[in-house]
Amino acid sequence: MFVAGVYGFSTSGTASHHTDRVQFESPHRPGTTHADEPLWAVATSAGPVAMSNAPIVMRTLTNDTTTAVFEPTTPYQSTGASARIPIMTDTRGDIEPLDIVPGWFYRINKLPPVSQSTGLAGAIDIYKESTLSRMSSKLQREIGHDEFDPKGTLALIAIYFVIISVLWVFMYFVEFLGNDLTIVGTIL
Amino acid sequence: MNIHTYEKFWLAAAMALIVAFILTITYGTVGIGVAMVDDSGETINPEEINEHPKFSSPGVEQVGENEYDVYIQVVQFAFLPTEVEVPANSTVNLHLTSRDVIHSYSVVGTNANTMVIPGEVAEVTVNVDEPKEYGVICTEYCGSGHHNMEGKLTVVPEEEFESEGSQ
Repeated sequence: MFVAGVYGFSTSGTASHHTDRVQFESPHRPGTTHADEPLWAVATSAGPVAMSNAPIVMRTLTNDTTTAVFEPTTPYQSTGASARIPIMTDTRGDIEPLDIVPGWFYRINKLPPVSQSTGLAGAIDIYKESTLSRMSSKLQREIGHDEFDPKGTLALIAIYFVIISVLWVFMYFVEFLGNDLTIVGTIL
Repeated sequence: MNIHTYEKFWLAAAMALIVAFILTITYGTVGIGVAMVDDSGETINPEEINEHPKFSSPGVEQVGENEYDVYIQVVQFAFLPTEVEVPANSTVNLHLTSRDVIHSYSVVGTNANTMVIPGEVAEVTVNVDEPKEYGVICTEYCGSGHHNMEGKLTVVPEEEFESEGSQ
């Protein structure tokens, strides 16, 4: 799964000094779009930016060979209204640390292919338009009522039943009935 | 209404569990004969216990081949008689009443116990098997000597038993 931090769309219009778009790719599955790959990056106005545990290879769209690596174990830092990513190291040295507008968080699959008809700008537009729908559609799977089989819950409840049954038998037949003398009589 | 298969399963299992609980209790009551102590015993004037045909001379009395009636007066702070002997493999009907305040007759470490209420005769039936010595205490706080109240219920081998009430 690719995670793209998009900048240049600042609501204030001042947060960005860089117009490239950046894509993050899982080092574990380069080039894949595995929906469950837990890669994500969040910039928030609160400051710290949470991120997945794995280093992320970063590419610019305009230069696919550029790589930069996040060291996500280092906490991100915030400077005022925008969160900066000072821990990004650039293996080629041509990517500056990026400003991320607070709260911007894109979690998408692969960018649409850049074709002759659409060009890069068109691909980016498609990407922008589809980002929200991708966020909701690609990351979760809708299943029907009967497809939802909480086997773990079933197992847990089965275990509870076994425990309750065993304890009941123990309590009544061993602890109670086994505890003679017992008061007996006839009902009515 | 669409109910998931698993939900049906654990609804049914929960119902089955409740039914199993009830069946267990029913088995205990009908099969084993486990009973509750109730108020079916006679009433008695606590002032006139010593005029009662049985409680005036409390003790063990044989009433059947293997059945014994035991009459016990409970007072502050003693069980009268303090020590009761019954033969093994018999049915023992305990009749208890109090002369003063609420006491209890609790055979320690067993299910046999009852409140002993002045004016009321508590009737308790137990089946005794093996020879064994049971301690008896009062578990209703009855006054300053409550903690000293103790008695004994001894199940002796049948051949060693000498019934006062028997012919």
